[in-house]
Amino acid sequence: MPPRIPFLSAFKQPASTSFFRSQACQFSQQAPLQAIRQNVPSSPASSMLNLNDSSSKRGGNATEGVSDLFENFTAKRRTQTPEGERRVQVLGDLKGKNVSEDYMRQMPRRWREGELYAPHDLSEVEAAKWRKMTSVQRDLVDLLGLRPLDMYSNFSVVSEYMTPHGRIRKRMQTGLTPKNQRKIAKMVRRSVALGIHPSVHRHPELLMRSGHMTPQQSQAVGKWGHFV
Amino acid sequence: MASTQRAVSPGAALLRSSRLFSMPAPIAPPPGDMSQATKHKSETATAAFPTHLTVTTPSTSRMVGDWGFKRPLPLKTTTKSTFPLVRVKKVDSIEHVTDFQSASDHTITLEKFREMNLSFSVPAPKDRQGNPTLISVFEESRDFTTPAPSNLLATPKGSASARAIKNDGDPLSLRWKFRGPWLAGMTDGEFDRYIAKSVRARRSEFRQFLRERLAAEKTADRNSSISEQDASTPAHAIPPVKADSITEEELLEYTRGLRGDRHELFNLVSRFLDLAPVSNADSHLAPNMLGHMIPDKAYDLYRDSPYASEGPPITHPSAGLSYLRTQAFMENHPIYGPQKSHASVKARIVTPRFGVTNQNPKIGVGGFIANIPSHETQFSSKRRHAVSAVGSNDGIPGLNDFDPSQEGGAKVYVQVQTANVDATGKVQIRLSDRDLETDIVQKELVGECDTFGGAVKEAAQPKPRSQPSGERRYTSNRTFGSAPNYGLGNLGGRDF
Repeated sequence: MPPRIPFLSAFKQPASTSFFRSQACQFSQQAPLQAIRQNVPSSPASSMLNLNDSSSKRGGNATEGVSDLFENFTAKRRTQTPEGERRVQVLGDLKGKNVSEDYMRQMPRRWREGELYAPHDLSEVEAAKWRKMTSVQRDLVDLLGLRPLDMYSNFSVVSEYMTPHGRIRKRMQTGLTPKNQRKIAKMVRRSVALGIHPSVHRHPELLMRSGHMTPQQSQAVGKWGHFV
Repeated sequence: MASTQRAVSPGAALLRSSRLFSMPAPIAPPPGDMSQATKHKSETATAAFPTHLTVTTPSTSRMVGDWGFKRPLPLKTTTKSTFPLVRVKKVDSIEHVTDFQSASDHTITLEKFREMNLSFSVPAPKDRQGNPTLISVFEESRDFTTPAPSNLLATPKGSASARAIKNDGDPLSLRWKFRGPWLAGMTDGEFDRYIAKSVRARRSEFRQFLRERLAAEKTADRNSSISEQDASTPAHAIPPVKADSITEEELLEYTRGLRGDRHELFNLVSRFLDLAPVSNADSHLAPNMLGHMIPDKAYDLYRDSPYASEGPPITHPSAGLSYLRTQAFMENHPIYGPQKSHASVKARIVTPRFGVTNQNPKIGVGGFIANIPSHETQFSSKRRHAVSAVGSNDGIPGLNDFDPSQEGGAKVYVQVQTANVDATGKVQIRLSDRDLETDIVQKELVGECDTFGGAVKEAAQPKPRSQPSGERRYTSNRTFGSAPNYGLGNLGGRDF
């Protein structure tokens, strides 16, 4: 949108018009000055002058007039030079990239080689499921052979099992067996008690990184999506 | 065999032949499927392979809901689909319903796979460029699971057979089935459990194995020294060293020596546990650039094993999907004759290259996700300079960016080379570079373009003669494979 130019509307005032018109504006060939002439309430003489001007049919809004003029004035420079053409193309491409990335964000599944797909897997119902954040169903401690009590100083592991408010995540969310959940809980408590990990929020180093990593529109949704 | 069958009562015969009793138990879900250990997953996504039997029924029975089970299936959900395909998870659940869902995903995928006429081959090393030699999984040299018992005997160190293993590779490693696990595919937790449950209990057995091995080595050493000293005495005349005669001290000394030589130790352990081969060649670490100067390269134990880098398949390496031995057959075209390459397959670009993440594009071929060819092909053009618009003509449209203007999604014709089954039971389809001529032939067959008709029309139009009428060109060369030579007449005065 072109800028609104406040002082131009002042020209519409009767007091200033007489002054202005009496000066050089009637015969001026400069574009801005012509715009002023077109938009001021016309005297008989000026209406005679504007008879052949088709653009005088437009409404009496000075801002609109100036915006149109601005468009006409710059359009030539934008498109008719080679660098202007390239610029227009680049802008169009970037717009296209944004559009395609927006679409890709709606299809969050990362396919791996050898997986199967049926028409259902490409539907929006499935895409919504992959976007949602769900609870882990397998016991990661057993799967990866971790020893949680030795990992109290690893604050990215500790953060994984804490809510942003510093509470230990419940078993429903962590997907651990009761035995491993107790170990993990002890790890969190130990880490907080030693002062290695803050008790009320995420570790600052993690926060510093995560803020830049995930833009709002790419963040996971779902029951636990906003915790991450 | 009717005489050997026991006579059964009519009621039992009825039950045995019923669908209710002939439903097999479902097979195990894909191993190594870590999707359940992640936060982003879908329960309803199509599994990597079917685990349940697909059931169908004739249309007359489907209309009344009769699928041969205890109770009719609901008409509202089962009569709408084109193909009556259902998988029954439970014939009679605790809620007194038959738990079923559509099975068209796997069944139609199988049908599409068979249409591609693919044969399964032993996986080729990934670093090899272009077209590797494809060996069918049904070749006698590859399709065996149990080694001959003599092969499993411990081979003495320094003996001829041990040297053969080092130089030419172990014939046993060409198997596709091993009793032990593939260590490279296990998580740490799984490995710990394997050690605790299966390996630790076999300690004394392993000591006995080492004893026998040491006895065999001693026999070989003694025989060679005897033959060096006195050629007249045949070596086999002296009785071999027995495993019982090995003392504890000797065994301890031998184990100490083995601890220093970890390659020899690994050889023995993997022989004892019958481990699937692992590869030290395919590591993604930088030393690969060193070539033959890589440390430990001399001990490339399983040089020949095709399954060392990706793991042995959980099924037969063909997975029962295709029984073709080779791709080396020619397809014939009614007009153009025998074709150099197989018909192109219309594939879907499931994920373009530059999505939100910068990853390789994924191509969906007949329902299977495939990677683009790893070497330099038309797929690898990453050209994305500023002036190329989305979906522009350079390269493959929709491959580098998602193109919302293409209705039904971006498609591309691909050349399918071969397939193999990996350690998690997934089918990996290997694509080769595009062949534009083959694509056009295939497009014409399915009615997407009209090259032949267009050429006929063009040829039928009278052309202004550029040469003077009195002058005629005579050519001595006969054009082989042209329509007039086959007696088809002069089709519009043009050869095709």
